Amino acid sequence: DAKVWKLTAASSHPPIVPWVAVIKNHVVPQSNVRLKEIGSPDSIKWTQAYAGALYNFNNTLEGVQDGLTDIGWVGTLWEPVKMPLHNVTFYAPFVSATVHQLVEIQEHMETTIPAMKKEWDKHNQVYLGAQAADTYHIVSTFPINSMADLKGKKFMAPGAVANWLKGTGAIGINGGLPVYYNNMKTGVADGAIIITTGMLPFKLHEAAPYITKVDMGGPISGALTMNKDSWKKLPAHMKILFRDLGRDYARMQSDIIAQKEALFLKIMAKQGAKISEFPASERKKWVNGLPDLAGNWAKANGAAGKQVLSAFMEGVRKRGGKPSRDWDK
Amino acid sequence: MSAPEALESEQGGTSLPRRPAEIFHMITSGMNSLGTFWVFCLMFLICAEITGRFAFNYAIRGVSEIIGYSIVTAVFLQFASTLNAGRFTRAELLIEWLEKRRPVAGYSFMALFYLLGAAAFGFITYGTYPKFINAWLENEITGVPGDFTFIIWPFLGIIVLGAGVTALEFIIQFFGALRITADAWKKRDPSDRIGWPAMAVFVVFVAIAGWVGAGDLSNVQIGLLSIVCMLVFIYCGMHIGVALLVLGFLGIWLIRGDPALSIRVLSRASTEYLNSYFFGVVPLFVLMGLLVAVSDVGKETFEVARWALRRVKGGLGVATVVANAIFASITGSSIASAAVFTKIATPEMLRHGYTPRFSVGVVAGSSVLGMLIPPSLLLIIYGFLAEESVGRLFLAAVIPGIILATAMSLGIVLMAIYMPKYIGGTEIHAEDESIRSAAKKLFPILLLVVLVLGGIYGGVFTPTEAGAAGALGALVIALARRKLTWSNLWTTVIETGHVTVSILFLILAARIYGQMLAMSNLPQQVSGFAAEANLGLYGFMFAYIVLLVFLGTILDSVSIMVITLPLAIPVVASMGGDLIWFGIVSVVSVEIGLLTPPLGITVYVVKSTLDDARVSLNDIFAGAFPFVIIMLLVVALLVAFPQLSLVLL
Ligand code: NA
Ligand code: NA
Repeated sequence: DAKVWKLTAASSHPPIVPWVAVIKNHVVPQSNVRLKEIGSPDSIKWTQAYAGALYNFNNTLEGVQDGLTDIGWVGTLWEPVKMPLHNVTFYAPFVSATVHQLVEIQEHMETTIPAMKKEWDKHNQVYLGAQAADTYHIVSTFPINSMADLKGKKFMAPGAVANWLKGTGAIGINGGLPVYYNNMKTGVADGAIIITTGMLPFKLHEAAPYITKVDMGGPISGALTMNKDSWKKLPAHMKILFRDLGRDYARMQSDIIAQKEALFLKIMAKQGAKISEFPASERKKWVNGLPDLAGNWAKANGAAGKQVLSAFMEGVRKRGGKPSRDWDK
Repeated sequence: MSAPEALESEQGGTSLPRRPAEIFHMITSGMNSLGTFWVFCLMFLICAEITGRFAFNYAIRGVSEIIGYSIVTAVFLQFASTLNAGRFTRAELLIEWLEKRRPVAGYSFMALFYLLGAAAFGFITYGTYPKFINAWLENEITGVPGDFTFIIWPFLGIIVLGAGVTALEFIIQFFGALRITADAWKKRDPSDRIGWPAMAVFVVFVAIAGWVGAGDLSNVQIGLLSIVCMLVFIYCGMHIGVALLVLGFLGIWLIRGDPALSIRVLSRASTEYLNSYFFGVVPLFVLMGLLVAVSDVGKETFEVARWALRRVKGGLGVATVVANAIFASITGSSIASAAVFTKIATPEMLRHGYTPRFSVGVVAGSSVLGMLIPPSLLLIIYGFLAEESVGRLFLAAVIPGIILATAMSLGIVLMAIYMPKYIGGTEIHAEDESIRSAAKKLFPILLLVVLVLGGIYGGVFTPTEAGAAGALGALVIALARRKLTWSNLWTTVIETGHVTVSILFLILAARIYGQMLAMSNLPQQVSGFAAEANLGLYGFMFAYIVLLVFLGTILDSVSIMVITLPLAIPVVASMGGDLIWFGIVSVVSVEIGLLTPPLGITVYVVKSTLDDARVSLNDIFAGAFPFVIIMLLVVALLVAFPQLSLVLL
């Protein structure tokens, strides 16, 4: 006899951003397709509530934790206190790696480091799939060719990203993505430290036409997770199914990100953005002038902090990424 | 008369022993003062951040987090006192009539509503207490490690305390209402003065709703039932926030079959939803409006406009509109505009022979400009709900604001020409101003306009920060002109607190209600239906505007926006409508409700400020009616030509 499972999928962002689009377009529809494929008579009746209908961006972790949704994307980047280990990339900047490399590294850490799993356990959820993004660059209202150009400038730089400006003579201003455009347009900020895939949707290059490719490294920024109580109720074959979908999720959202990163740069260039590379020598100066961000972070997080930091750095080196500073040494 | 006043005047105290009740109210009013003072300090904190950033290239880290946490705690500190002051928003229409004419029915309704309020706040307390204990034991922090962090148990503790005290206040009010019911029962009239029909209708409705709800409903049906219940409860006079909280709570319970989830949602939203920089600036915009109102800036603007328009037919009416439009650029709230201009423009028009109806109508009508011409509280709330840039919304509202002001002025001139009897009025030959004296009088307001708009578009501060800068500017001007005493500063600040709490409580409650609706899948189905119905964008806009105008008859602007926008925004976006344009159209449409009976906030403000028995509420509604028509025409214009809103962007 067939059982109808009632599940909810939700998100803080509209399903046009890659990390939500894959939930709506793949995870949800594929779940029923695959149930059929394995010959199960069961089906899932989904309730879908995207774009902040159930919780907004600062409550993605709690949305899954409380059971507002059964499955959802959790933005660990907004949880530096509750999910410290998942924020390693924000304390180890200027480590170049592709988005595909990053999700591989994250997947490896989630499955091999117990302390990473513990963070999810503590918030009543189960990790299903990794989520990372493209590398951070600078978009600004003025050209940037050297460290000296940064001095005295104000950049939109949320949370720990503001630390990356230490030693440059520039300051970071807090604020969500929706205000970047206006702040740069009016001059409250002179630029923003941001990933390429975030620039075009908010038309930032129209307010600040200079895009300087600094390559400060991409973030491990979240994960697809399931509420633990909901997870426990699932039979073994459905757990396998969702694990598979989680791996699909990581791969597919990375594909979209990588593709958009290249495409968006082209589009913005065509629309008049002035794109340049930040000189390697200046970049070296910048990274060497930073305080020991990762070291301090690891110390604050004890043994697990050290373990996660070295696993991350090793993971990058092993996959051919290029750390500009060996934060773990 | 609000319920608490009625309690005191009719029985001289509450049913609790006098002493404990007095002590309790001393505590709640102390908490209120603390919350008020805290918000006042935020103004200085934001100004310090602006100065540091702009002048010294120095960033005070964590200001937005501090403001987010502060506004939640300030609101919870002020809840009980706001309730006690009778400032929780409700549709008075039916309940006030019942309370006066059928007190047994009226006060038994209120007793029930207070009990539900006590339950709602009781659940918030119950759900948040464990979080507080946990945060305390674990010394939980928030912020960004390596940047700034602070401990959070004090904030959670205040929320638990504030919610608990508010639940107690509801219980006190409950006993008060019961007592009045009992007294009224003893004094009952032999003829039908009980209000049986009203009570019977309500009981039958609740019974039917309960019976239907207990059946095997689909989630969508639960959502629909909750909407019907919401309308009935609001019409009956339940506090709108309480109605939304209670229905959200019950709906989530029914949909998911888990009361614990309802409690988690209630507590989570209470502690975290209002925790936002956006909401932190709401009181500052309110404060700015109120400070400007006490500093006589509006009066002098009007005097100059009157002098400049002395040769125009219906000149004093046009002057009111023009002065209001200028005043609007330094205040974010129509309520402040209505209060100010009732005091200064209406007596002047009456003195010059304008009809009372027109004299009050033009003030009520033109004060809607206050929330359209930037800065605007409604646009800030829209920006939050739609995740659109407030700066772009402000810019987009400039031309529509000017169009509306022009249309109103034109309407007045046409009425003066073609319906002179309706308007009345004689020529004024006031030559009492010169260019020089006019300039001198306009100087303070221009200073504020330059400060606020110049600051925003000159890159000194963000539109959200403008509330703090503007409030400080208004404070300085009021002080410089010696219009501010300690006592009216305190009144202004307390009033700011009550207005803020009543707005933010609605926003919080509507959020919980909205979460319930999203779980019911109703909005998703409605969006799908609207998309498939081939209404097209314009068909949808027509239906949506009709809905807003209809809701505007009984609800206030903020309530309408928080109830409808979460449903409408995805639909408009999916049909390719520009969300900035949609915001402007929504705000003008919602503002029509300020002028329409039975609940027209601006009209009420005019009435209570004027305090003149010769002018009835009906007169003001009638006088404002031509402006409703003008607003509808302007809405049509804005819908038809989106460029009017978008060209400046
Ligand atoms: Na305004
Ligand atoms: Na109305």
